[in-house]
Amino acid sequence: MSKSTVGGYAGKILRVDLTRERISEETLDEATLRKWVGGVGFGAKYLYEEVSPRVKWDSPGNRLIVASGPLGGTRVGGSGTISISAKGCLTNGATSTQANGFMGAYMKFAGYDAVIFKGKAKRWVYLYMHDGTAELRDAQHLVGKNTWETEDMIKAELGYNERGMSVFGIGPAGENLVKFAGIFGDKDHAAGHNGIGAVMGAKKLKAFCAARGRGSVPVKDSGQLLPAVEAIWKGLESDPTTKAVLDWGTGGTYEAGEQRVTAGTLPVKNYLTTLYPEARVMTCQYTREHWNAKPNPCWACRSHHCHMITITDGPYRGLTVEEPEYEMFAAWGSLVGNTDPAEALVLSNLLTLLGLEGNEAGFLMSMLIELYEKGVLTKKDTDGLELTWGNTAAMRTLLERIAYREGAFAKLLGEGTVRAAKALGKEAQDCGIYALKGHSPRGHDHRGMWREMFDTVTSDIGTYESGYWGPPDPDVPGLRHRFAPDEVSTHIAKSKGRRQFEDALGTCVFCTRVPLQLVVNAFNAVTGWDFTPKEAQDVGFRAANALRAFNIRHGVSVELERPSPRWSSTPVDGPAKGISVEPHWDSMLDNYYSLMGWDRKTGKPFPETLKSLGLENIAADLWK
Amino acid sequence: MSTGKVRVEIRPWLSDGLSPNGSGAVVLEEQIEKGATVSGLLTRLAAEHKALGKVLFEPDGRQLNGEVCIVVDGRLLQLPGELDKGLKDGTTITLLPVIDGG
Repeated sequence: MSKSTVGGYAGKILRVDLTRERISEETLDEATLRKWVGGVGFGAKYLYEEVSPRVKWDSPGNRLIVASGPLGGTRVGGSGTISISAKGCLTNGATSTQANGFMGAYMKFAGYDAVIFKGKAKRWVYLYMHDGTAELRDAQHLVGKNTWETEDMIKAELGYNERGMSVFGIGPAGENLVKFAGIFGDKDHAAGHNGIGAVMGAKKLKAFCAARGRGSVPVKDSGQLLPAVEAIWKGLESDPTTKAVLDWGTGGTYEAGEQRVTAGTLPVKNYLTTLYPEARVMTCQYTREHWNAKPNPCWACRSHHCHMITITDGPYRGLTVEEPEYEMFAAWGSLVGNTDPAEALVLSNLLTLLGLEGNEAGFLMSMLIELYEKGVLTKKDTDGLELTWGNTAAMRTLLERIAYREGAFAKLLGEGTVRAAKALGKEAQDCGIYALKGHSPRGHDHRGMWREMFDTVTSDIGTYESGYWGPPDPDVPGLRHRFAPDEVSTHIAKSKGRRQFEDALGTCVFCTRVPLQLVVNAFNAVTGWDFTPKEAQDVGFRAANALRAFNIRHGVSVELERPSPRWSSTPVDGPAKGISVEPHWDSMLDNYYSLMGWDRKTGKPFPETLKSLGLENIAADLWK
Repeated sequence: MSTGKVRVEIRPWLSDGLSPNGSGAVVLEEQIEKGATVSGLLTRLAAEHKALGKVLFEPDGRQLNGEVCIVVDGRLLQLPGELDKGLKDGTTITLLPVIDGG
């Protein structure tokens, strides 16, 4: 690949063999770059090509692929995002999980479009990227440190200030191979799904970091890029839904909090009810009006989304935490019966420090509380903890025990909600909220939001992977009737690829939630290519098909494409009372598979589907 | 001839173009006639309040925007055909935007 012919790329893929502690570099030709682009595209390519079905999630042969994209480090908003891909440990299938912040920009300034880790180090190490080179450094002194301590210590020992370096790493949960450990960095950002932090811990890789340095990203047509960037921001700000996130984060305003209850999408007490009068205090408007809020924007982001909050009253006075996303307000507020926003902030931050993914932890906790409240679990089972609704002290203690694998109960819970439910028995399996594939959903009551439930269950990455939630887009069909089975499954199928394309770019989806043509305009300006929206969506559809093929080969069965009984239960109150998704599930899958060009019985993409995407090799593997 | 009255609560930010101070929920009390439906009422309101029409309907002005939640007497209304169900005196319709997560 020549830097002079293609814009947007640093030009190198870094290969790190942790077993031998050897580092090498490679390049990709332009045809391969056009085919996979970056981010999740690179993840799909390298996972399929290099991780065979014999490889387990904690084998040295698993890959941890950290990838930016061609827009990473440019003027496009939020272009500091990374996609991290691997064979994950909750599903034993693929994962691709994104984190915002600065790494996606800084690693490119340092000279790298992606880093691919393989092997297992003999000692704890971290990777340091800077000025066109990379080195592995000893990390033994960082073992046991939480994610913020890790970040601060690495910056201090390498001589960088807060914004001079991006650091992502694992906490005690990842070190102890908790199956819902995540990778956390830049104080406020997480790549959390499918146990990606445990994959990193299994490699004895504590962190990776990149210096801001003096590098820059080549842009083919700056004259076209600037108006394209402005058009994207104008699109975001002109749509009230996207503007609301730009202004108030995903936690939103008081009205947004209450409106989630009115719309039946707030998860309350393990789905036992949908009613939660305290919704308005579990919002960003509450935290910003009551405490000190300091903006903490990502690379090139103009929004007022991310903040750091210093609590100024009560028992946590003086504590600075990251402002939670909506999903963490939900997980540590309504889902577990907590009505104190300060406690929700502290719990959310504790997860970050320990390195635990919050959605899985939240649904695990709500299941346990229901079992305890019903007397199925007792203090003897919980090693003395009273797991009752709103008992946040007990929750904090349990989360720490899980991260450090202390005690038999916590050790079991570290296997994730699905495995824990199976071990705890039928009552747990009846009330647990999870996809049968092995992971919890994100923090909503999806009985009022079928599209995300269906997307999550049919996804191949351990979390949802599709759908479009922006202003009307002529190139990507929206969803009009949220409880129409055919419309929901059609929407997920027809929009497949759009989200994956965004996740291949190195950008934050909250900054690209506009008609696809506007994003493609910026992409073409940076790269010098001439993509159409169809070609862009095909990049994403290709990644989705490659990840599906990976999962099929690794034994993730289509029989598992169902929600757990509680997840698909019928609400007993609230606006979605009596509305049930379960009777429609099979017909939704039938429709989805037909539209995706996949075999309903085996889950395999048909040969013609794969060949239309240039995946002849995958067709030959799956259909021999 | 009016056969009743329906209360329409329009929540932020759908209400932004209607509220006198630019923000906050807006409540309309609307007279209805025999045979009035949800879709008919919303079409009428969109014609009377252009700002509301822009957020309720797709650019073609015919299809309701899928990013709007419609709640009738506390129940979500989003199945095809339900929009053409009849309204009765005393009904409350709440319009609110779809809010996703993150």
